[in-house]
Amino acid sequence: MKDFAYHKAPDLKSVQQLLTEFAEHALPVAGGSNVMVDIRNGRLNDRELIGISDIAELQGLRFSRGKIIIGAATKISEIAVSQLLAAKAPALWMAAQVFADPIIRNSATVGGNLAYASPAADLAPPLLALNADLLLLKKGGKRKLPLADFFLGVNHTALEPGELIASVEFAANARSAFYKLGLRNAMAISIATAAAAVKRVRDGSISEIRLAMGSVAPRPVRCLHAEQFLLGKQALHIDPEALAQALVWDISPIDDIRASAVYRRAMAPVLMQRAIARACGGCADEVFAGKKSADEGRAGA
Amino acid sequence: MTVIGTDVARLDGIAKLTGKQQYTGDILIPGMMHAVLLRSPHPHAEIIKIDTSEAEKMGAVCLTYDDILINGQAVVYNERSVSVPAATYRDRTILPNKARHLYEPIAAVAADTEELAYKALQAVKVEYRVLQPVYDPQEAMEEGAPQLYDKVYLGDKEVDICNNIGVSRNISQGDVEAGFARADRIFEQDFELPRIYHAQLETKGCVVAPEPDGGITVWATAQSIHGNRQLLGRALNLPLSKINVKKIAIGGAFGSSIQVNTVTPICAALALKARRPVKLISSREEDFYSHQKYPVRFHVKMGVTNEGMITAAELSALVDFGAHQVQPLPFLGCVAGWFASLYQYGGNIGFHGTAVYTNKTPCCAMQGYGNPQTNFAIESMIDIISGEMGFDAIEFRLKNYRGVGHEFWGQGPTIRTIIKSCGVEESLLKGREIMGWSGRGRHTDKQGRIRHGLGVARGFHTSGTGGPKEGEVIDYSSAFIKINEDGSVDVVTPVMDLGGGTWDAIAKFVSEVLQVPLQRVGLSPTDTKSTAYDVCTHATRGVYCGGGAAYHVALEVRKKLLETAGRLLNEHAENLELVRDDDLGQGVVYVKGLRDNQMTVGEIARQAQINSWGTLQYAGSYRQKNCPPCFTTHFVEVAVDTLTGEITIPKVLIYGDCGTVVNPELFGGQLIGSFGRGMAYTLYENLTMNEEGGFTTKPQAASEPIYTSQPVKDGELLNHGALADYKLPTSSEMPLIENVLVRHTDTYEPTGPFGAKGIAESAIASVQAAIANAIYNAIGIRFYRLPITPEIVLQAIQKKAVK
Repeated sequence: MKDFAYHKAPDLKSVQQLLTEFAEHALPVAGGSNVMVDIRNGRLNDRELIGISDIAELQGLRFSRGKIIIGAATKISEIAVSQLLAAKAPALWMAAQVFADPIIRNSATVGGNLAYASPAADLAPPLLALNADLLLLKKGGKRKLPLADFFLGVNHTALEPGELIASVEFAANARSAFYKLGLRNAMAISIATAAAAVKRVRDGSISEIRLAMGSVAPRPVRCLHAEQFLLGKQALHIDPEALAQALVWDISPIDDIRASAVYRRAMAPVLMQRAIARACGGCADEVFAGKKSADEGRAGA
Repeated sequence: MTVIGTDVARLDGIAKLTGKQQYTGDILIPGMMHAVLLRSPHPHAEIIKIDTSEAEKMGAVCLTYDDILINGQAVVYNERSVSVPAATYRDRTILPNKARHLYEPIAAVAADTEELAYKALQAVKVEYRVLQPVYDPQEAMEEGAPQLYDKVYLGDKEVDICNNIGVSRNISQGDVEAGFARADRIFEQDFELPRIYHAQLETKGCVVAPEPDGGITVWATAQSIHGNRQLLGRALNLPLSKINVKKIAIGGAFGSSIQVNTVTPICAALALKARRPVKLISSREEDFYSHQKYPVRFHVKMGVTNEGMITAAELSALVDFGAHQVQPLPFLGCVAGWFASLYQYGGNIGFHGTAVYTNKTPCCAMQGYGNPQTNFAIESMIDIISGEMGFDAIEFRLKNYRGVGHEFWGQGPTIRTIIKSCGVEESLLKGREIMGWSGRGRHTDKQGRIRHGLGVARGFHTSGTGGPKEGEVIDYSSAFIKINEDGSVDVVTPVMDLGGGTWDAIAKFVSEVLQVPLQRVGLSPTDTKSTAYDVCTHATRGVYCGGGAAYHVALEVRKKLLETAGRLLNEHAENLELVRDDDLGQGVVYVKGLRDNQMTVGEIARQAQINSWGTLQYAGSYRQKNCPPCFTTHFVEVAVDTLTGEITIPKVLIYGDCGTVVNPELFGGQLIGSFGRGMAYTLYENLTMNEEGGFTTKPQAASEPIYTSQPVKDGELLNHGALADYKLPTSSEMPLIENVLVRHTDTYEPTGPFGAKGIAESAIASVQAAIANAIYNAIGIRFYRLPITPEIVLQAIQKKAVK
């Protein structure tokens, strides 16, 4: 049996108090879909869990003046059913469609997925491509941190002791997309994921784009070389070989139980090309059309 | 209207859907203790000393090797008891004094709560002498390899084990050399199938309550209550009359409870020592290390004439069965039998089987007992030969298959039967029309990112293990049936239903024979004390053999019913008619042609009671003297993504031949569910383990995945025994339900109850080869090893492109 204590925090103030009190032993938990597994298999021990799932300020989706703000304790299932996100941030919405399985989506949260800092966190690539910022709270202060600066390594983030993710925010972008490749359609940690968000296209050629990938490096990564390569290219006529060449500089995959590094390198351009094509031709209506479209979040569908 | 062949709600449907069905894990007894197992952290180690004193101080009761000795001797047994004793290897004890695979149970601890039991477990100190393990079967046979055993027993004989070879079996018929000499071309090929895990819903568990008379009452995950009772009697040295194993629902097994599960004797010994009821339920991780499917490496050789006749065939099989024999002896015999029974091969058949001990989890039967493995090799081979020699793959099969009048080896070389019903031809001929076989094209014609292919394979399984002569395997069943005083019927059967609807079939047979409405047939809760023997629900024998026994006992009851009616109606029994009257809600008996002079079955039974003539009942045992094959044919369409290597299945046609279909929905369910399982075996499942510490360490191939995010022990599964990391496909990988076409052939088995035979295990036999053959048709690449994962497919596509 493993030992841990659980403290349910009724409001933000008490979260901050508990975080300060337990210092490095404190661990905020909402859905618990990673934390409970880690406690059971012995990777986490002697932690003070601080339950944040009922705190109103950490909940929900808002859209105002072109910006989307999502509370850290918002469940993945809320993203998956959001028509707003389907229209204004399809990359994130597509990622929510293929996130784990319906049961996990009903407990796992946006903040938890990011804070756990798995290289395979499915929400990270779309949020990186959407250039999201995190709002971090600490007793007596708060700060905004670009998500791109948040992931430091496997399960390692820029969160300081006592700090809590309050929300994630980003500018809406209907021309964004996400694809995932896993060993099966549901309840599968990604072999690789790719997200693309096109900012500007002039005369069919790309003048601003953001790309990100998951499961191909120790942390979710922005693909800056590939972005550079794509500038000025015709969105729907990208040379796959050249894209693959550019991506080589952005990713550093490893062998693991799910796939070899070789396979991941081969899959990266395939997924990315699909994501770019979808983002460039992207039309929200087409994306949000029930199960069939949701299946398209998977690479092979 | 007959109930046979119509869909009715399952007898246990409401209980299961409402969560009211009781399983072993639901049993709670006042004063019950909870047990946990101490499992070896080494894949191979002698146990020098176990110190349980600290645990006992905490109030725990502990069981070690010393506790299981009877007169200083440990009882050596095989958990599987469906073979005759002379054909059963025995190599294990309730707890061992040597650990032979990682996480093998070596001690057990029971305490008032599960939490206390775990805490006490941590206080048990074990001293090991660590030995080098061996994992690869080929390496295990090399000189100098670590030896798992010096000797074991075959029946009552002591047998030396050399080079870890547990069993070798050579079987031949005809003249193989002469057959090959007559062939125009000879084909040879290797095939390999991996270890996989049963992944049944319910993990293995047991509850044992000691009784005041010194006996025990047992609830266990079991496919055979009598098998459990007999083994417990032997292992604990108790008379069978002191052991009552209850018949309780089981949450699936796929063959993994044909044997008595390892936890059951441990739990019983612990309960007897503690003198209190004990519950022992495996976690999923423990279950992964308790039973797995036999992996096989094959070499196939076939000779074929230019006219398309196979003149001889030879099959070699190397099986790595793990740390204990859960009967690779009959397994090898069955592999030979499935191979021999697929085609005629000019009557010239050679088989060489070797089964080897390794320091891995013991393997046991899993849905097909070697049949899916063998079928993948042979049905792939048939496709290869058809392609190479320019034969149509269906015509080639029709020329060579074994059908009506031919011999079928239902359970190895000693259990044979003559085929009396066969849907092979119908399924192939109709199937090819439905699926547009002639338009499937060649792989060289196919283009684009997604390539489609159509493949076919055919297979079968036996229905039971009965033959005209006694053989290596025990097969009979029993039933007790009585007509109650209101015309309703109680059926007492020891037969287990593993979820396939065996109990429904039995109730339907009784309903039909006695013409009593199905709702008035009750299956009694029962146990080993109040039933006669049934071997086990295995070998697809539930309906044909278990149902067959109930059918024959029901006929005896019917005879009594008519005799009694004759006394009451003043008519000879043979001049009476028994029919179901749905308005009256029961059966009625009347004099032929005279509907006015009738009595209901209830009135007859009641009058027999009032007149003190006795109850209308019969108890008996019955052996089926045949083991008819149930046939399947799979036509599978695949779509291969040539950029990712992913394979999807847009459409499948499944033909099943179970003779008379007893319950159409359950028949479809078996075929569709097994298709999913076969798809998993072909495209997804693989139990990879860390073999670094093995006898001779091979360099890992580049494609072998290495788990980096969490350390993996030597001998440990890369998924750590977690179902979440064992990627079985989900319903979303299945073809859409409207694209799963299920058909049954128009057949009738003359030896089966109402013409029925089995279906269960046949449903998976030919899935693997059909998918692999379809992949070949799509991309022109032949895969000889399972699973065919996207990564392996993509590698092969790239290699082919370079050539």
